[in-house]
Amino acid sequence: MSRRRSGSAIDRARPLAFSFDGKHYVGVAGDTLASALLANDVRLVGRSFKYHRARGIFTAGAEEPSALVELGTGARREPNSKATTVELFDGLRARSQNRWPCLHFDLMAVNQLAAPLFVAGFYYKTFMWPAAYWEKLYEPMIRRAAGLGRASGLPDPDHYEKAYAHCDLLVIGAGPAGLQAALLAGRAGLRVILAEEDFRLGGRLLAERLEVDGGPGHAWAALVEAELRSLPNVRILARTAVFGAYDGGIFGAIEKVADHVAVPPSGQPRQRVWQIVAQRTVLTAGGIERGIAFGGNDRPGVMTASAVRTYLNRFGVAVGRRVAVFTSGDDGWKTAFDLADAGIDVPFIADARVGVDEELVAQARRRGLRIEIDAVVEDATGAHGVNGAYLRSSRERRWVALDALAVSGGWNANLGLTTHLGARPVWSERAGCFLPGMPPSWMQVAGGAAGRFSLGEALRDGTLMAGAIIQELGRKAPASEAPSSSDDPHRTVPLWRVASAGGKAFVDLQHDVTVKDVELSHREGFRAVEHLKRYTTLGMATDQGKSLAVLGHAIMADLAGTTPAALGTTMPRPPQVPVAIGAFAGHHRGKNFRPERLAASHAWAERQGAPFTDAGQWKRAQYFPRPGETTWRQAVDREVMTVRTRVGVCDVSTLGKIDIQGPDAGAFLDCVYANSFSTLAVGRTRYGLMLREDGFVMDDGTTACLGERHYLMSTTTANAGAVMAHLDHCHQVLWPNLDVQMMSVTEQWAQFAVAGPDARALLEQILEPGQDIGDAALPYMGCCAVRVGGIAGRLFRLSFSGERAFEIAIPARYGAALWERLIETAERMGGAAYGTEALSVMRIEKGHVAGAELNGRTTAYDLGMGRMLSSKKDFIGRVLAARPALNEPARLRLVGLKPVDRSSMVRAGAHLVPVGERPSAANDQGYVTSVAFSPELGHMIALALLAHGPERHGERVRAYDPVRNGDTLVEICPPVFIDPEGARLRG
Amino acid sequence: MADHADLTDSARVRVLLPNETGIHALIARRGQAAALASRLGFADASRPRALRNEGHDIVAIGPGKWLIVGDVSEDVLARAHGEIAAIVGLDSAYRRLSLVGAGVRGLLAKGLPLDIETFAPGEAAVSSVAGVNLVLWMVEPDRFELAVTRSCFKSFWHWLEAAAPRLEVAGAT
Repeated sequence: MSRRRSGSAIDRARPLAFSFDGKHYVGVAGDTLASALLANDVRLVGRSFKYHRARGIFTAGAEEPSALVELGTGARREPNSKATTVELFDGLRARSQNRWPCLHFDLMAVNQLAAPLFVAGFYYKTFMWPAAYWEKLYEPMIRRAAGLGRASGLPDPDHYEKAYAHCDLLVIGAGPAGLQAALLAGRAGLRVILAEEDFRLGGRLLAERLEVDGGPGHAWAALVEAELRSLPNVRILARTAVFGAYDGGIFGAIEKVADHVAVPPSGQPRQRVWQIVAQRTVLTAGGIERGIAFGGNDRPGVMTASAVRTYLNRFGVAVGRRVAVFTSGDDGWKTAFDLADAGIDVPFIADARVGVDEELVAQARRRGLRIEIDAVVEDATGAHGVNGAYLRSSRERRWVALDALAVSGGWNANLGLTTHLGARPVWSERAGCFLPGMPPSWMQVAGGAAGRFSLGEALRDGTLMAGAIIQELGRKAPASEAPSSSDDPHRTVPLWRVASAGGKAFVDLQHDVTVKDVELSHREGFRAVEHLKRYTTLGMATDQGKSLAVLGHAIMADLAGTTPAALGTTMPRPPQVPVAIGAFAGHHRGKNFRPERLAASHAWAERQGAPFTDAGQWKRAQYFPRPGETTWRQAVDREVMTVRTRVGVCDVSTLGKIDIQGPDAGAFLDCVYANSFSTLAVGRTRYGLMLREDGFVMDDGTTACLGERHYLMSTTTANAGAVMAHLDHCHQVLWPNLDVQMMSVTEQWAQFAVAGPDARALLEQILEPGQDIGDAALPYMGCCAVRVGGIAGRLFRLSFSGERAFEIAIPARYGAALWERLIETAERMGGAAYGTEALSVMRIEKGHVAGAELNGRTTAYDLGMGRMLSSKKDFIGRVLAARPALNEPARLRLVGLKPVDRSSMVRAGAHLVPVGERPSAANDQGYVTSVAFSPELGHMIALALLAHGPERHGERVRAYDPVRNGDTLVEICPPVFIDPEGARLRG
Repeated sequence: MADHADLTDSARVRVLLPNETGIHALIARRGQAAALASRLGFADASRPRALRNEGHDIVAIGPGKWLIVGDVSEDVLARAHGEIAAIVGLDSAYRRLSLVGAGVRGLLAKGLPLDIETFAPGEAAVSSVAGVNLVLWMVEPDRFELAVTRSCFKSFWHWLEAAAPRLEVAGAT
């Protein structure tokens, strides 16, 4: 703790114990991991990505490219955390990363010897051949050698949540401009959200010795924060980084709710992703200081000048005992003054400019500083940390001993969020940096983010912009002027590189991109900034190159003989800061990955040990295994034969159901179905085929006429939502003149198929006495109202299985009770429940088409239903379905298949190839869509789409399946395998 | 001016699971939306969107569409509105619950994309929470009425438990 002194935002009375690489240290409350390490004289923090060079702490904020560490242990281990943003807590455990065996002796540093080889594009050029080695050898080898820490590989034990917020004004950044804007808007009654990435509000006011309203800036910030916290219409989101700006004033933000404690408190999430909808936004994200590309500018101890001030003033940490300053602007002088005033030895202040403000020079002289005008640092020296620097002035080149070097090459506007919606940054000679282009009308940019870096400008921006927004939103702005402040000078002449540097000069510390890489990129023709980025990976790391990448762009401009203004800079995209995948997922992981729809029989099916299949969001029971059954086929075969010989019950609640009413309901159905429905009598049901506008089949199902103006349409499970949307579109857009009303009732009705020779007998035991469901009263395709245990239900005489069958519907709240009663009764009769597997076997046996055949590419003609297309009325798809190409006999059309060797397997997806022909795309005549083992027939059966299909019954083809090594000779047959006359279902 | 909801205050949320009640949809016949709105007590078709009348709630769920939540028989509705509206029984389509207490807005803000802070008695919305469709309305302060898609209720409940680990659950209204 020898370096610790008082700071504006720490509490020295509250020590916090932590460890780094297993060694124990003590920091204080208010520290970041970076400030605590520096206070403990730890400068070497990690190893670089490619060359394994020693790396330290370069900045004091979220732009940190260098000091990446692993935090936590076990499942909570998290790599690539920026030490500059990690809030210190008691017990924090951090480790360096990307080194072996240890940080001080990293054998992988041997890479530096091969550095001349490891230039940009090295991997692409070197590991080209043999290509097969890439996945198994090259990539794993490279990943081991170059890395950014390790994920835990264990399930994340923490909870993440989402939150939605709406506000009048979102202020991004709680520096002077942000605090001022939020304060005025809050006082005016606007609903304000103030988001700040740091755990303390105040921004640079915490880091500088500037004054506001005659007092210390940090004291003013504390007063403003206290007032903001007292306003119920202001929400302060500290530890919250806004990571993305999206259309319509929507922002994404990540709040680190509990990263500053070892384990989140019970019931609290670790992190929270916010979706913020703001009417207006003021971006006050401030500025980011640039470094300068000179030799060894990556050595631990080389830091931005503002970071050196921040550690000194905010955290009370001197980053060295002998700290020199190298600058090309006024900012470096402030650092030199603060250091000198704190009693720290400043061996020189070197300013690359020829002309420096006389007042700055005078101030330096008063402090006794050695001033070097028109001078540069060419190279920093030192293996594990800077120990000196070569200073070149007009007079001499000499080496100066030092243990830290503060560097300022000017400032960048922190404009990332302005580019997310396409505003291209523009170069400003005045500010010496790129400024936001034309952000959306609802976003204003204030202070440093707009290139107005002085404190006075920031406070005035905050005041003016808040006032304008308050008025725009129809509120009365409270009378207010910007608080008085010291107006710090901010003149800069950008300096991108020191041309005479001898050592490696970096323009991207995280991805190890050097000036030489930029030069190579130029030589090889990758000169546009986006090409430069991808060729060298400049700015592609987790820091997005916020502090240095612009150096590479400007150097490229220089090499290309143009200007930064002409060459431009890259456009950052969201997320602006790294966001854990877990935070994006929030609650939606594991069983909550997406909502599940559970049918009425679900609980019973679970008790039977049924496996479930997903049908959209629905969970459908596949089969119901019984003791002694060791394979799924045994259960499915039993269920099929139970239906064929006795009675089975299946939950078909998942099918879409749409209630359609109104005087024009019949006419409407005629429009949307290819066949007629207005002629359907009350108490009757009809199979309907629905086409898309392009003439292809969209969906099928049955529609029942429940009353004179009342129909119930059923859809496939998969298409229920799409059909409902289609009907709404048809009504609202195509035929708004029709008096028809529709409502999805899928959720309202539980519906169970009761199928088999004993189906009627079973239902007669279920229905209230006196209800006639005989063939005369309820013939095939009939429907009627019924009562079950005092509850009104509906009964439909429908059959998907080909057996005598019914579907009984009851309000879903009674579904579970009815299901259990049906099963209990069925089992007494020798029947059983059956699941979707048996359902599928029986529909294939009957040649009914389903999802595999209704695949969006088949027509009614293909499916053998061409005659269903009405010639007496218009309907959606009629014109385009008549196109000659859609009625060509050569189209792939529905057939049945049987293996010639009845013991052979046929697989869905197999391609159909003529016997004797080589399997190839040219000889491909179709494919198998659905397969099943028919327990009744004792062999595999299949449905397929085959060129000239119906004309080829009796022919043989190969069912060729190269994926699963299948090659089966099959016989083409009609698609209906069982009871083609339909005697069973009518009987 | 709406205050910001407190996300950490789910301890002050009670979940009431009422007995199953009647729910019907009324859908106005062509050209009858204004007439039906007026009959239902909505002088202005845009506001309010929910009201309580004689023990049942009337909730707007879309242009010309309302839910009648409460024990009103279909026959009564048919006699009253049958000539200008289609009536669809939906008592099993939803599971009803009420969220009561000062912490409700903070809880709902964790899943509902709407501006829950300005949601006031008389408001109604068709929306979703954690991917589960629901109807939400308010007829009295600090109490939100929800009708949640029945088949997804378990998923909704999982979200509720995750979002508010210290819920108080009661069976009656």
